[in-house]
Amino acid sequence: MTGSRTITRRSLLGIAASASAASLAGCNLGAGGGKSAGGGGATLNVWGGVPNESGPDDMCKAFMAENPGTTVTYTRYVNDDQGNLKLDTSLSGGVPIDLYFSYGPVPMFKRSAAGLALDLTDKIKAESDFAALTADATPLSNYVLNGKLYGLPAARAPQQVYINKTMMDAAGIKLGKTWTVDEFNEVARELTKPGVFGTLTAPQLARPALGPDYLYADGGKRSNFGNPKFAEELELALRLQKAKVAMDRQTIIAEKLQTFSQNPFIAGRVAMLIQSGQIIRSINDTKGYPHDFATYCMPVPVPAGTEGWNTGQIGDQISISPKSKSPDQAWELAKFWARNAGKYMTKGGRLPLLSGESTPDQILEQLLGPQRDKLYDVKSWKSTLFESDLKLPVDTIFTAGTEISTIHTKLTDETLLGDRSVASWVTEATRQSDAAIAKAGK
Amino acid sequence: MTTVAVRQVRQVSRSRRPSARAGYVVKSVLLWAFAMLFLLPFLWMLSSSLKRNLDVLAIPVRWIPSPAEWQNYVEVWTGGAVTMAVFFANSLTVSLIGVVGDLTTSAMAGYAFARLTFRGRDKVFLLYVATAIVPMQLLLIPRFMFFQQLGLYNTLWALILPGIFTVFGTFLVRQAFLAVPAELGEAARIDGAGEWRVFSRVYLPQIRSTLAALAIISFVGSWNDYEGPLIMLSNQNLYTVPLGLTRFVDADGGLSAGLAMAGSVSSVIPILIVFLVFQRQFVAALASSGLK
Amino acid sequence: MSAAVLAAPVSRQARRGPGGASARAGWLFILPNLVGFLAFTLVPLVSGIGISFTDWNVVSGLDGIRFVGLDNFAALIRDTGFWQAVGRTVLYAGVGVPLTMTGGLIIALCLNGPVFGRSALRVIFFVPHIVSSIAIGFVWLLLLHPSSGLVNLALQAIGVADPPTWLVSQDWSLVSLILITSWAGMGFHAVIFLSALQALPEDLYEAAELDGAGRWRQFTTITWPSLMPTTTFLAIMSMIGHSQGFGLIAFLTQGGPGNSSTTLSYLMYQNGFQYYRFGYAAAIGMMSFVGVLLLSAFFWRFQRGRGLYS
Repeated sequence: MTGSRTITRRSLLGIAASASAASLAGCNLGAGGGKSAGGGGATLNVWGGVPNESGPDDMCKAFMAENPGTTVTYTRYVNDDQGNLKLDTSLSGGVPIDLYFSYGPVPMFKRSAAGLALDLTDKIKAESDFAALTADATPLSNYVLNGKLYGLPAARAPQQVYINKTMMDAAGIKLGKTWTVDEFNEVARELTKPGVFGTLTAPQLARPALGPDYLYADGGKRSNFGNPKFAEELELALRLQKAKVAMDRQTIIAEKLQTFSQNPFIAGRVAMLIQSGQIIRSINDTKGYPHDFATYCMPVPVPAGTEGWNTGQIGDQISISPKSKSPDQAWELAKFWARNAGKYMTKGGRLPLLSGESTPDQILEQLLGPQRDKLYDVKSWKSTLFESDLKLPVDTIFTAGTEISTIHTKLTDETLLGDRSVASWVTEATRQSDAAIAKAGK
Repeated sequence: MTTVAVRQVRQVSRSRRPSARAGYVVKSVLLWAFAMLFLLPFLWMLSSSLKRNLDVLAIPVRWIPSPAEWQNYVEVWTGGAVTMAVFFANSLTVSLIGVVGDLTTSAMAGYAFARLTFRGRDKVFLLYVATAIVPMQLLLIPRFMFFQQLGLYNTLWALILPGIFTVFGTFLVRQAFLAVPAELGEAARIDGAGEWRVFSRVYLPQIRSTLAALAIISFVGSWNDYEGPLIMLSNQNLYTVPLGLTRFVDADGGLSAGLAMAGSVSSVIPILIVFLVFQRQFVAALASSGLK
Repeated sequence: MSAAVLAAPVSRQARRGPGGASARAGWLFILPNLVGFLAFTLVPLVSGIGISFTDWNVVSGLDGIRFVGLDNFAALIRDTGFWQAVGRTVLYAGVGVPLTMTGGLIIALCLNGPVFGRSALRVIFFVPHIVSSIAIGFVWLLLLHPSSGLVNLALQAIGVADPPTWLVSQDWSLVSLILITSWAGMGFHAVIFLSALQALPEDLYEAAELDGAGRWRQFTTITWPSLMPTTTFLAIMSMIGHSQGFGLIAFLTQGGPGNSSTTLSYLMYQNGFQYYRFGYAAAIGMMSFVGVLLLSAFFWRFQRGRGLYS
């Protein structure tokens, strides 16, 4: 027990020790939480991006069982541009939504800035097991804007590397517990064959080296794209693409693989994929995605001589709509969700931020499903998820976040399509982002 | 297929020239070759709708999939929380109410603008003219706010209402009424007919073809509208066909080519049947309306 | 909207003076449409104009409105992204409209004469017009796939070694959208042209033939001038359609790659609904409105000067 708790503290949670200890107690609190929000009879509408059957339905059922009289309805939106637009217009359009999920700080703060999220600072502070999630916790494990919290995070969304084990074995590749970017590139090269790209995308260099707020310089007054790491990252991507080790940007755009890229991996067109955990929904769905290889898991490669920050983020921010008719009940559900995410949401590929009482093995069992011995190299998953250090960067600056992310994507597309030089990428990214920051600051 | 007989007298007389036969063949061949550019995408759509996702872009292209993957259609029509049938019902509701409403209000207003005289009429008409080419996008944000205030956001009414009161329809009908002699109404009025009767019994039947054309344009317009539903609807159960189609990517957001094609074919077939059945009227209506 | 419609004088045929029973009837007849017009067109339009003078970046309510005068327009004029979008919109419409119309006219001229399978052809050309733009988008998305799409396979088969990558190329994305839009709209234009052609009086051609005028002369002296009103109408309709073109762009390229297919309508959508900068978005809409207004007026005057009977 102690052992598992240590592991939990160091790597699974990636947050302060106090949180880990408190999270064990948290479940008890969660269990009794329902009765504090008197009345009942409320109907709560939740919008989230995880498909109903991959956890949310079970979560809602469990909450309703503990809070008789409360009805919870979960609506799934696809976490892409159109889906997020739907959530935004629904929130502002007065569709009854009490609770909703944002996936990442940028969309969350876009919503809070538009007055679509309640300030949760004090509510989170009042819960002892959320101590690590408060606005003034060290280290920070929640996204804070001007000292305020608008979301209760329920998951970590670190990125990992997923490898087609059949191809890996055929190439005779053996891997350790961690690797550097150079080692990754070498493996990708070895896995490249006619019709198979070694990897879908090149590894990132800027985030792992620069960590939190890597996009900003001068405390957020201007953008940081002038940092040489960004240029290096692009040059690496161009190199791998040119060598046909990484899939060309054209195909990625043509097949809309930017957000959801499970198809080429399952089809064996790429040997490796760098992504967050949602891939397991496709791997586990052997009917929709029939495939006959096991998936091996590795941590994101570390650029030599850097801190090795993960390229993922803290995910699944639960916010409460100010228009909710039962904000107290909604908060009860939010707490319940965060505390029980380990129990219900792992099968949707969401790694819980608070692990509750679940041990790594239990979480793995949930995550990888009943066919895990066939579909996964379980040992590598356990090693990557629970036995390696995970440094999840927590950003604190979000000025013009939506615009900067659009600018970044568009310019990177242009560069990888061969229409823009890396030098011009740097100039333009800096110029446009600085303009967006200036505009937002007004 | 062989409707050469439909040729007009003019062409018949011309085709008697010696070179006409060769010209006919060359023209037919060229035109059919060009038509292939229009036909092939649909045939390919049909063929791909019967393939597994991974086979859609497989090389070499197989025009006849074997085995045919009928499962795509089963999935589109019965799978998931919301099916194609729901999208169709919504689209039909929006389009049909929109068409009937548009015809009614446009016919009445167009009639008044063309054949009734009253103080302020020309000023109001000028107002209509001024807004005739307002871009949809400019109206979208205020309409969004407006429907939100009215509590009509996320209802089909948010799509139906703007379609019922169109400036375009009013213009089209007004133009058609201007071509109907004013004496017609005068005669009826002398016989003691009321204004409504004059309108509905005397004038309206005169512009049947314009109304038919307006019905078609209005129907096609709202049937294909993508931007309106994208902004105004939130509940999947209310999605219309175009918006619903975009959801025929798989549950995890990946583009499933086979499913997408099956959804597309499903959306094309019904409207194609309607078009084929009413083709003659369809074209005749467009032809004889004030559009030319 | 139609030039012919707009061109018609505000009716002077009215025989009876204003006031009295007729006046009441007039207003009653107009009322249903007028109410809807005010509510769903005029009020939104006026508010849209109003919003363009505000710094309104929230959607939570009406409290956040702050008037900033001409700031949005001043910023727009300095925004290179805006001018690039203007350029793309002009290109999109400037190439797309003539292409669609020329194609439509040629099809109509062919279908107006004897040709094998005429009514089948008419259906084939017209069908894209009635198909949802998303279905069209899906099929072209796959047909234009850079390496495995049917189009490039065909091009490679006929010896084009390095065919364009269409929707995923900066140079070709807008071209692809122009081609797809024209493809979808040609049949509609053909049907309208065809009906106009069939309404032309036969004796004009007979007289011309007696005068020894060849086919081309007949076309330039009789057919083309007679088609002027139809042409103008279609040009204006098509130009409005292009300037508002949105569905295909949003679905196929999201304005990309880079910004290579970001037209004004998409830029406006992006500012309004992705960045929540409604004031800025409305200002873009206003500029686009003024542009289309000026162009329509130009076309209308142009045809008045040229048309055979206007």
